[in-house]
Amino acid sequence: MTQKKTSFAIHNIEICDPYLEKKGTFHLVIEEGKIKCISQKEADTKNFEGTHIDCTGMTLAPGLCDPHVHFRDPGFAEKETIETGARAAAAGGFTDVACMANTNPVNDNLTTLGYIKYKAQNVDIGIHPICAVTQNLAGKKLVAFETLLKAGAIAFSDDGAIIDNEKILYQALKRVSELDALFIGHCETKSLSENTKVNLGATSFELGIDGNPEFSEGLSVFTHLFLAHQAKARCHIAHVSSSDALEWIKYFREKGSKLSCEVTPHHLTLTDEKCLTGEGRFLVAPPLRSNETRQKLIQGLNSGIIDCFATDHAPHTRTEKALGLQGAPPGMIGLETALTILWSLVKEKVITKSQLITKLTKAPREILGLPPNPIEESKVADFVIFKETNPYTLSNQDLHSKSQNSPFIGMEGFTKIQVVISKGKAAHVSGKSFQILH
Amino acid sequence: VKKRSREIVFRQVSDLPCSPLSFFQKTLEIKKKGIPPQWQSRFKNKTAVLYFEEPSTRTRLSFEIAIQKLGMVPISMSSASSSFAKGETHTEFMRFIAQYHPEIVVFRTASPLLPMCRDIPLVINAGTGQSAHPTQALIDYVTILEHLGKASPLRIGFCGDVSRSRIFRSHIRLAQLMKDIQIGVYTPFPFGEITGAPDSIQRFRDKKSFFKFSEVICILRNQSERKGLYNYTCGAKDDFINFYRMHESDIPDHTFVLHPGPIHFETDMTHTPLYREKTLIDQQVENGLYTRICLLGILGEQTQ
Repeated sequence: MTQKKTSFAIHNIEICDPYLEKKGTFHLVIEEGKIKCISQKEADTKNFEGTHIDCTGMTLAPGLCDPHVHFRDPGFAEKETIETGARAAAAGGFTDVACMANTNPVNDNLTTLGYIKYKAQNVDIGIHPICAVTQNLAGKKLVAFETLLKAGAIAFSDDGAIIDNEKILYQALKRVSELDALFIGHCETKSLSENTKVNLGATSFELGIDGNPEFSEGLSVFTHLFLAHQAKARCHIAHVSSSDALEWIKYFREKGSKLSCEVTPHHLTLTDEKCLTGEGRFLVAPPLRSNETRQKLIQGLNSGIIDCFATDHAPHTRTEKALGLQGAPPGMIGLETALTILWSLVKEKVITKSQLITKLTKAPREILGLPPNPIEESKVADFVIFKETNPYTLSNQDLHSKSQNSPFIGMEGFTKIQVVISKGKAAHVSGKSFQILH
Repeated sequence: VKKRSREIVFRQVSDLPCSPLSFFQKTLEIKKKGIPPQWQSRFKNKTAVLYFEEPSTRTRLSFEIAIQKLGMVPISMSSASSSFAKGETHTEFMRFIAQYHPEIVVFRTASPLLPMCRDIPLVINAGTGQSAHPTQALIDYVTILEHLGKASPLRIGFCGDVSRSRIFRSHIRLAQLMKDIQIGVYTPFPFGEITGAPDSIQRFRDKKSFFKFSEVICILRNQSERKGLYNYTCGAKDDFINFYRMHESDIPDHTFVLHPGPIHFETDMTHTPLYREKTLIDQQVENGLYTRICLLGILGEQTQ
């Protein structure tokens, strides 16, 4: 953890801030971790006596927010801890993340929640625990929602498991609605998805294994949103991966439901053909889909059906992933690579830079109910500076997680993080110009 | 310094180093004239490891005999007698087995893919899960060429448990490598569940049109040992036996019949089609040996 507050001035930087819609190049002074001055005139910053850094060609954006990560702590320290997960997040430009509850013990009680919150105090980024919906993620008995909410749960989700009892699901949504809390749904129909590792289609046929049908997700999304509509609950659909799901989300949004949804960088940029290699790092739940579906997800992003990005950062050990189709657990890490991979969509003009940053910052923060982190004078500095680069090949050297199960290794990256300032402190420094902050 | 051999992994029919037709012709030439002496000197006294994770009779025996006829020493292993029972992965198996310097590893696994392998001159896929059984597809076409006098153009129809069949999948890949092969399927759900298969595959709902289409039919075994999402219910199996099991009276005289075996007479077909003139099941078994000799020989030349 960085102990000292940060002071420096940056010049000629482009700001991309969905809160303020500033345009052009700016000069900023950061003093004692706060934004002291933002100006288009360099002269306004000349009195600052500390380090001045030229940031020509770089972009300044609010710290990124990921509403869906798995930090495996407590219980799976061989995969990730809150400390290593936070380092991976900061390396990817994230200053706030929401951690899923499938730890060991499951985060369904005050002790585990307290443990996570205690450890979260000692890392540079904001860690926001999501508590389970059902005890031990077993889908049988509900947790003490109000107790956990008041103790700091940011949302409730059984992500990683499936609630396949509609009565339990409805009761959970009713309780969440009463508390005006957020329910995050991992939408798969258990009987259709169990024992599947890849998408149902050409890849599952080629491999001769049972495929995971898109309608497994579509059916579950319908069930979640229908019951959430009845219960008037705020429901966020995690890792949307099918066109059926998008149609139901659109339908219930038009009906006035309080809903939101996320999409992952891997579902937007990879297809199920990768699974033909049998490599464990391409196995994820929901699985990578066909290129046709990938295109529909991009359309969903453009049409505004999809609200935000989430990495679903899910570390697994090398030994587990080495099992491949023989039995590797599903999940991919993605915090370090999210921005650089999603930038390919900006380069292809599929989305604008402004859309990208909005869906990585303002949108997920609003869904989680986190306070805004605009780049504004007198506010605590909470931002990322990155630079578009020539395409480079992503390697394990780019990873900071304890695990290495990234599907993007070997692919091209298009941006490099220079520095991440989180809550006024330098959480990650990699750009040469910023080494002074070490 | 010993020059390291080229490493070849024969995963799919597309890994053949020659055209499928010339491979079929070469196999029939070996059947007629015998094994080229240079192949026997190439392999003399080398070791071949056969690892079969799943039960096998024809594939395993024919590979063992082929290996012996090429002058090699076959060492056979099964999952019960290996460290897989202790949780060792296939990749680890391949890594350590390379340290014994076998010339060839013949590998059958319940997984859909062969493991990563390095430092083994030749690795042969003898069946991977439900995804591929390339040598059996080659055998079928060697038999077709031998008895029909052509390998293409051809209309080949499949019935039986197509959904779970690795042979069916290898046939599709082989058809994609060859010209003018049309594939038809006549089998009900769930045995005929082939979502994701190429659109060119023709589906038939009645026997009459299926036999009108097919010059050759390939009957596939009901693979009840394989479990999954579409576990076969008693009802589906009963429907299959009542309406789709092949009887001699169903099959036109001019239609050639293949079955890769083992035959389940209570579900796949009655005994009587076995004794038809154009039923080529025993010939498939015989050609299995020559196909595997030819494959090992041709690929062995590539690894030198």
